[in-house]
Amino acid sequence: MTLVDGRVSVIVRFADPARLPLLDEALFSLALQDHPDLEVVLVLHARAAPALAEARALLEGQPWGPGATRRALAADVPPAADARARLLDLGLEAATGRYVAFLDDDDVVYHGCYTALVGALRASGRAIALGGAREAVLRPAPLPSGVGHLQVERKRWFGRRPPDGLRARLELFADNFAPIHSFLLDRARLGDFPLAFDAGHDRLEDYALLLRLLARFEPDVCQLERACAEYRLRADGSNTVRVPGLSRGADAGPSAGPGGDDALARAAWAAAGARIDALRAGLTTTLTAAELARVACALRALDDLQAERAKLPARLARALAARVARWPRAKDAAVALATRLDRWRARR
Amino acid sequence: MLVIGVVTHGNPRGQLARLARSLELAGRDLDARPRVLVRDHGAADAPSAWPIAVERGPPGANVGFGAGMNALMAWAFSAPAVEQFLCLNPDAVLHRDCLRELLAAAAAAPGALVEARQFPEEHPKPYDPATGDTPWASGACLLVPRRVFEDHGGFDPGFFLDCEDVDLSWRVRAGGGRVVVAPRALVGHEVLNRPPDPTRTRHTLLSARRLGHLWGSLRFRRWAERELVARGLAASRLGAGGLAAGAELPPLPGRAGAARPVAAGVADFEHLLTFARARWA
Repeated sequence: MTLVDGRVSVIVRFADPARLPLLDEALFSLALQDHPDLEVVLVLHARAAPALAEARALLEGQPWGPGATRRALAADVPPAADARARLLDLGLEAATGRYVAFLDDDDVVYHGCYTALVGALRASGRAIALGGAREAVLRPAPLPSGVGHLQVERKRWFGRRPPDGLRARLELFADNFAPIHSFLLDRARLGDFPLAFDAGHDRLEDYALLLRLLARFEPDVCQLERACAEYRLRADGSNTVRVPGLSRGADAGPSAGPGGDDALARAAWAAAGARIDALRAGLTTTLTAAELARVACALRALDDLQAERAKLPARLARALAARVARWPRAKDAAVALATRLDRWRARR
Repeated sequence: MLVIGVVTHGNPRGQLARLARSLELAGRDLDARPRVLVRDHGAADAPSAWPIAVERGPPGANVGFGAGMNALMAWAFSAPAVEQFLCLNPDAVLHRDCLRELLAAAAAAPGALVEARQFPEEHPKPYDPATGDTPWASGACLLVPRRVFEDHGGFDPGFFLDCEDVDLSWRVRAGGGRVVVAPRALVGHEVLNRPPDPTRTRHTLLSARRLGHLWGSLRFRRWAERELVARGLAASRLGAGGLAAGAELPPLPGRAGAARPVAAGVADFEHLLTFARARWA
């Protein structure tokens, strides 16, 4: 397929009729985008069959800009199948844009998200750009009319935003701070990379793809400080993902969705984690010698910290920790701190 | 009948086209199509920029958002059939259900100022999840009932940009009225990731200074003046009472003529420009 240069294709998967109001907000957030060539591919699970007409109406009923096209695809998957990865793959096959992004039906993107990420990819020539993500907690609330709504209880940054690209890449190997709708891919720069989701991952399928991408490509992170995506957690526990501290008590852990069984969900999450570990074990990555040297410097500084912390006055220990935390200049920091340590020892 | 007022200031054609498209969608299911009144405050905004039929409000110089909206409201409410007026920003985009939900919320809270919920980033000020009551309402998408306009005279034209909505909200609440959010009425409005704009910041801080003055908070007024100076947006000669005489700031009205009902206790300057305890930073 010939990719349309400049076009951003956003693949939205939809499987749960109960999420129609959330899908509406997800699509509205896409309609507010200012990127001049936007293609929305809504992939509908067979399980959503009772709501197909409504989902299509929501897709068409948004105030799209003149450069926005959209299509809805009914996925030929068994209603009982999870098919999370399959839905995304179907969307990828149908997408015509050079740039592709993903959006779950219960999340939203902020204004200008794709314009910023396309700009980053064009400027850097990289294959993947990461944007900043925020986390919002939504709590069901009644209204006098009897119709409910979801009130935003709080927002904060999603995970810790690493200070540079190397750190971001390394930390993403350890844990995921980049939800599926916070990054954009340039398919023209992926080469022979097989862009597809692994159907063996019925959870964390997005993280599995991200790990494979980051093993091969250094991400552009210049938009990591910009809020591009909002990851929405519902306080009634109806997310598929872990929602610690929400409605089920502190750190209740996994949720299987409304009415789901926690024990089963825990087992499913444990299995998903094991699959991610297995994926990590089989991935090799490309890091330059310079990047590895920076890792070594940082580790050395951490060793110094561990060795000296117990002997230091509290103030100096805090300063040391703060310096070491400033990753990009870890080596300089280590040198400067060594000098200070020498002076301190000389005074004793 | 509902009239929608938009004060433009040289907005790009694409932006107005997007707003117009959303107005068409949102007006489709209403019993009566709302009229759209436009007042141009920018030379670049030609009448042909609107792809839908709009009416031109009374022409005039750029007198600021509040005064411009007042002119449109006066014109709209001169027709007895008009009961509600929606102040709408030109850079907004209505959700398909926005107008219907706003009108439903207005019916549930007669006589109240009703604001739409900005999306995807809403203002972090609190609101009662059951009643929608909120300390103040943004003018970006604000439904003003005739009674509020007649009782309070619309916005204070002394505010050029920003804080006029806070001032009107507090006056309404001080007079015993209500200010509510319609949480299911979504309006797309970009408030995150805005590039720094010193002109806008200056307008905001000048308005904040006026708000503090009118509502009896010398401390907040001085804070605004210090911010103006610190950001290089005003002269730097600070005296004991704030900016020194001769500093290039607009004069403030005499307290006797413009003082607000401070005793009503509706003003909140403790949270600076949020004017309420925020749900998130």
